[in-house]
Parts: sequence; C-alpha cells; structure tokens
Amino acid sequence: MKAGSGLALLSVAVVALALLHLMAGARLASPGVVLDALLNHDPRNYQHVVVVKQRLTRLLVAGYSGAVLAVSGMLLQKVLRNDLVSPSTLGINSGAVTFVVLGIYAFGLDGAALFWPALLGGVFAVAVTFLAAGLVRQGARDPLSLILGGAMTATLFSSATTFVISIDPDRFGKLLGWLVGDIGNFDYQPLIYLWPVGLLGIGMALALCRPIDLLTLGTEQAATLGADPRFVRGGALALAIPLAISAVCVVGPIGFVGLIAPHVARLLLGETGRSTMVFCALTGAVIVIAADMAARTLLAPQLLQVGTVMALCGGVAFLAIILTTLRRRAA
Amino acid sequence: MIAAAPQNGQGALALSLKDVGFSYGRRAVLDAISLDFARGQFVAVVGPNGCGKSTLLKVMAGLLQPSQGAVLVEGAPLAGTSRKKLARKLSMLAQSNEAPEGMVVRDLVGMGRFAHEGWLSSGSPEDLRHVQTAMDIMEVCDLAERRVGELSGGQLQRCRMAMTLAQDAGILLLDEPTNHLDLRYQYALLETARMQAASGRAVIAVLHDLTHASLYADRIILMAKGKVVAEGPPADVLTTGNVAEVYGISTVAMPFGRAVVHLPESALVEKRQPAGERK
Repeated sequence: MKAGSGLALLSVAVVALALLHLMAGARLASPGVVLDALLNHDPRNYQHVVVVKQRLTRLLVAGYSGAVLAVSGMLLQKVLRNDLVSPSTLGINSGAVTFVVLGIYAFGLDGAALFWPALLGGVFAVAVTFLAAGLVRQGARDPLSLILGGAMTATLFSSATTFVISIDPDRFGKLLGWLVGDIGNFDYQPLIYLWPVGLLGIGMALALCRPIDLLTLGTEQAATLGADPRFVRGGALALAIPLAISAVCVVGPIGFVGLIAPHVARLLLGETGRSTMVFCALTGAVIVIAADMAARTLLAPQLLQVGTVMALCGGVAFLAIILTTLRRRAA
Repeated sequence: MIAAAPQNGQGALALSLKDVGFSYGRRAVLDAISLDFARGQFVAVVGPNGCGKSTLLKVMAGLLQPSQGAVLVEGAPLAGTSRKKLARKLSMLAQSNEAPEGMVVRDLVGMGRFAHEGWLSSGSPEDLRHVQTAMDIMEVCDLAERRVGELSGGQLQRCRMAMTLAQDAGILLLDEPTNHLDLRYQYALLETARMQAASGRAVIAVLHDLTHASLYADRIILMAKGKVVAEGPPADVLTTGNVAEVYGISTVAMPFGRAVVHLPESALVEKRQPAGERK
C-alpha cells in the first residue's frame, strides 16, 4: 500500500469509527444528533450532554491510549529487534500498576500525580525483565527469552499488587475497573494533565524515526551509517516507557494494543518510515476505540471492560504472532 | 586498463593508525599496529582466523576504542568525532546481514544516505541520485521493489554493498564482502572495490581468499596474532615463506599474471593407494 493512500484510508476509518462510537451506547444517537451535539451544543439537551460528556470524553481517552501504546510498542519492537515485545509483554504495565497501588496506599496520591510512581514502576519492571531475560537466555538472539522474562516480571508485580490491595481492600474498591483496564466516564480528568506526554513523545518518536530504522540493520551497521546506537536505543526507550505509562495512568494496563498495532502497520505500510509510525498510532487508536464500543454494546446493558475485550482478542493475536515468528526463525 | 588520472586527492592520506593496540580484558588482540592508507588504493587485509583482522577493521571504523594509540581519519583523530560526521567520511559493510524481512530494497539502499540527511528531511534529489547510482553499480535495480525476506543471501549482500556505496564516503571498509556471493558476483564485487579505489577512495577489505586478494588489491597486509607480519605489493607479501609462517601450511606458489595462487603441497602429492585395497 502506498503511504499516502494508506494514511488517507485509515484517517477516514478513524473519523467513521469515531462517529459510530459517539452514536453507540445505551440509547442510540443519530448522526444528526451527534453533529448537533458537537457543533451546536445545547447543555439542556440530555442527549447532547451524553454525547459530549460521556461518549466524546471516552472517545478521546480511548484514541489517546491506543495511539500512545501503539507507538510505544513500535519503538520497543524496533530498538530491541524483537517482534514480540510491547509495553504489556515486557511487564511495563504491571510494574506501573504495582507502583500506582503503592503510591495510593503509602502516599495517598491520586489523579495525574500517579504518573510519577507509575513511571518509576515501568522503568523498574523493564530492568527486572532484562535481568530475568539475561538469566534464561539461550543463544544471543532468542526472541522468547525477553517475553519469558516479561511474563515472570508481570507475574511478580501482579502478586505484589494483589498483596498491597489485600492489606486494605476497601481503599481500592473503585480501582477494580482500572486494574483490568477500563475507560470510565471520569478518565478524561488525568488526561487533561497527561496529553502533553503523548504529544511530545509521539513527536519525538517521529523525529527519531530514521535513526531508529537504521538500528534494525544491527548495531555496528547503524553506527557506521551515522547513527549513535547507544543514544538512539536509550532515546527510544526513554520515549517508549513514558508513552505507555501515560496511557496506563488513564485507562489501566490495557494489553496487546502495543503488540498488535505495529504488526498491522508494518504489514500494510512497510517496515520503515515516519508514515508507518503515524499509521501505527492511528491503528492503535482504532483498536482501542473499537474495543471500547464492543465493551459497551456486546452484552448491553451489561458493560464489559475494555481491558477484558482486549485481552480476549489480543491473546489470540499474540499467539498468532508468536507462531509466525517461530516459524520464520525455523525456516 | 589505463591508469586512473590523479583526481579527488588521489594518493592523499585517508586513514592512519598510530601504534594502535586493542585488548579484550587481558588478551591483546591488536599489538602496536601502525599503518597508513591512501586514497586511490585497494588494500586487502588477510590472515588466519582470529588474527585480529576484523577487530582491526572495527577499530578503524570507530566501533571499538583502541586501548592504546590513535586512529586518524583525514588527519583528524577519530575519537570524539560524532558518528554522523564520521559516516560522511567513512563507510563500512559490516559482516552481519541483519535486515528486517519486510524492508524494501530501495529503502535499504536509501539507509546509506542517512549521514547526508537533516533531522527531518530525507530523499532529496541528490540522495535519490546516489541511491540509483549505487544500485546500478551493484546490479540490483531489478530488485528495488522486492522485500528483504524474498532475497537470497547473495542478493541481500549486493544490496547491502549498494547501501554502503550510496553513503558516498571517501573511505570504504569491507568486512569479508564476498560472503554469501557466488563466483560471478564475488569477482564483480571485488572489481567494484577496485573501481571505487581507482575513482579516488581508500578501499580496505578483510578477505579470506589469498588469490582474490592478490588479483584485485594494490597492497596486502598480512596479519598474524594481532601483528602485521608483512605488507606491500601482493607478490612481495604472499611468498611461500610468509604463508607457511602465518598459516602453518606448506604451499606451492604459482604466479599467474598479477595473481599469486597458493596450492597446498599435501594436495598436490599424487594420491597413494590406501593400504590393503586391491586393484
């Protein structure tokens, strides 16, 4: 697919999906009502209020989280040269959750302030994952060892999370949805503070895109082509972790977006270039927006959590990606 | 062939090593090596496995920091030069042929232009011209739209060489460039290396095949155990004495035009009938 037409098509899809998202819900709003609510907002019209206060905020939260998780995943996959890594499979999400829970328990933090413990947790989890992967590694380039390390780390941090919650369960009652990844009606509030992280992160990822592409040719070749591998790898990690954390703080540990979106983008648009990165961000947004719609409508009036829907679909996709990666290595 | 007229600073000093040593831990891999490389020359570095020739190339490319001595690129110390600045003067075809399977060949060759791009610009007319020229030289134009995963090892190696040429640097380092190539493209690649030298670049290649080295290189550096044993024109360096000393085998040397062919004595002895076998 040509980059221009691919991006145009996907943008149209995003707009169409956004419109659908605003329409769908307990009471279906017609496209006319949605446009009216956006353009001639009447605060006394209940449907207008629902469209803007509930659905539009959820739409923005879903789109934001999907986009930043996708870009984070793409950065990780490229600099670690591993098709299986993502914020969730490296344990970043779980580490963030543990530190958020600790931040709430020990310091009574809330809202956007939880970004800092979450960031610390994400960095810590990556370090643990690398350490664990180093211990289980068989051969220099074994893509599964990092995933195994990530899985071990995630398990470790999940039990730590459970432990902290069990000390004082009452305090974490309203956190249950967030723990599996959910988009609530008030999630836009931390986003008001955190969106610059995403904007800046994606902007810098685009600026760093070319040297990151070089790194996929191997450290030495990248260096002689003119990229400083340590700077590029460090920079990409320093972008990928806060990007993922900014989403985790808003919606919780939604998995698999960061794993799947880069694969879709690379498959449809090609391996390299800034347009692939933008396409990846939009794909991530589409995935989470669609998952949110599914969560709200599949078992209506019962609501599902986005994290549950993503885990169900994403788990299958993860298996498919592992199988193709292994088959390719065997060939 | 008509000797190339002096141009592009032909003969000017491109790269020099001053008393360079390198060690992994306590094991010395390179020991007090001083060498000069001029523009317009194709130099082959040969020697047995583990003699330090690949390490030497990595030190020259700034991928490894020498533990003593200095590397000068066009008179300026290599240490402290940014990778991007260095990449405009020096390019290298690394040995690993890693590349994402989904990458398109034209994009791969275009990677060679990174050092000449700004932070946000890529694909200027000049970049495209260099990419096209490099693909012409390496005869990979018909592969331009193919994905790396569809290429044979030899095709990928030629595309990576095209990428290195697209970099358009004055110094060209090649680490076992004939890897993965069949006979025709081995010679084509070595001919390309010679032509690049003739057009005023300093070309330095690590080669395994002594015949190839003697046939194409202007000068040969013979290494053993981290030291330079001999250097100079092929016929002077590739003597039976040197080969016996460095590789530990007795050979018969056969000069053949400018080439020196070394054949192992053991294989030239007529085959004896294995004992106990009847006619």
